Amino acid sequence: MAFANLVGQESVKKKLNFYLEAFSKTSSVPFLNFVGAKGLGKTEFAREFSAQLIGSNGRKRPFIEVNSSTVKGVGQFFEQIYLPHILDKEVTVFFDEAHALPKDLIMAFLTIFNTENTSQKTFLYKDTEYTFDFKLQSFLFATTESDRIFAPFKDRLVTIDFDSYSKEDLGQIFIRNFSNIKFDDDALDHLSSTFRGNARNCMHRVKDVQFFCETRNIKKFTLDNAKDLCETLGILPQGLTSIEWRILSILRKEGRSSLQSLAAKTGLSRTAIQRDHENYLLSKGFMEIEGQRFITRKGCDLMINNKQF
Amino acid sequence: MNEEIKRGRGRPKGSTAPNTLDIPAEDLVTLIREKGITTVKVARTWFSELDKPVEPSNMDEKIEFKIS
Repeated sequence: MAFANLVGQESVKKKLNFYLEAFSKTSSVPFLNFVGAKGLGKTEFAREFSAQLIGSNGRKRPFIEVNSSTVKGVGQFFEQIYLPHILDKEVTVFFDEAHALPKDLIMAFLTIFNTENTSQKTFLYKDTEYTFDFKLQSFLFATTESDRIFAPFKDRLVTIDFDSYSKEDLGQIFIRNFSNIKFDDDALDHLSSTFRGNARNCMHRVKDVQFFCETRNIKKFTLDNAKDLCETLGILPQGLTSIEWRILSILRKEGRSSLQSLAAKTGLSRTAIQRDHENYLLSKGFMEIEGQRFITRKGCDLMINNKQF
Repeated sequence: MNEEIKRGRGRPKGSTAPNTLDIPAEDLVTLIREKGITTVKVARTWFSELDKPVEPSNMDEKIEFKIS
């Protein structure tokens, strides 16, 4: 079974395994669009998926990982990617942060990916024909901002949604990186609560803990060690950032607050508060918005139980 | 050795051959097709004089990608 070495994202695994099975019979996969927040494993799953796409030579197809923000136009794409790496080749092309692709390339893809019942498509650009063979070439996309992808183009893609990791999943990901250190359950629980449901944060913390254990020669990591580490590195409860903590403090002191008032008190723009800081507090149920912003009982409890911050 | 001092921009010091050639456009197009050339570097001024809007070229910017 593919993806056995990746933790969590069970519904993603199911879907991708289904498409891999289809690939083994048809040699083609739909155009997949991996959608989810940062650190949920989109790129890792795309790599693993691609590793299962075996070419006619019995080996894994080459995997081209493109940074979409550096693609500036159709001509440049054909010149630098298509001609040298795609034309007549078996390959998987992965566009990371696909919402940053330029409009003219999206328009070209709109035509190219309109395959209906055929596995080949020829696209005419500046009097030259570019042929795509989707039995040889697979195209994957990933984005954190699916709303910024042109809707008709999105319709050509099959969306694979990534969920936040549970605390248990993150605990598993975390523990895999330590073979010679034992973790108390409550220590692991304490650390996992600071990962914000995000595997990338989890991996950052792995490094911190490795340094911490090496410098202090720790073989058994306890809750006290976890608290000590968090205090040393200024890791706040539930992995809150200092700005999020400040927002909660303001709301606790003021009772209710408008967005404008929060912006004035934190020195941040209204957009920055909405886009970067409120979402996590809302998702964790520490604050709510009903016309104005206010702190919930859960938010108050968090602050009361962590007075030292 | 040519002791003549190069004056400003243009032809390289000591060069006697002209920088440009006259080729029938049709021959050039045939050659470009035969060789599979997809982009051609042309002088911006010459291009503007053809009444074409000159767009900043992005062909030289490198796409970041890695193959594994």
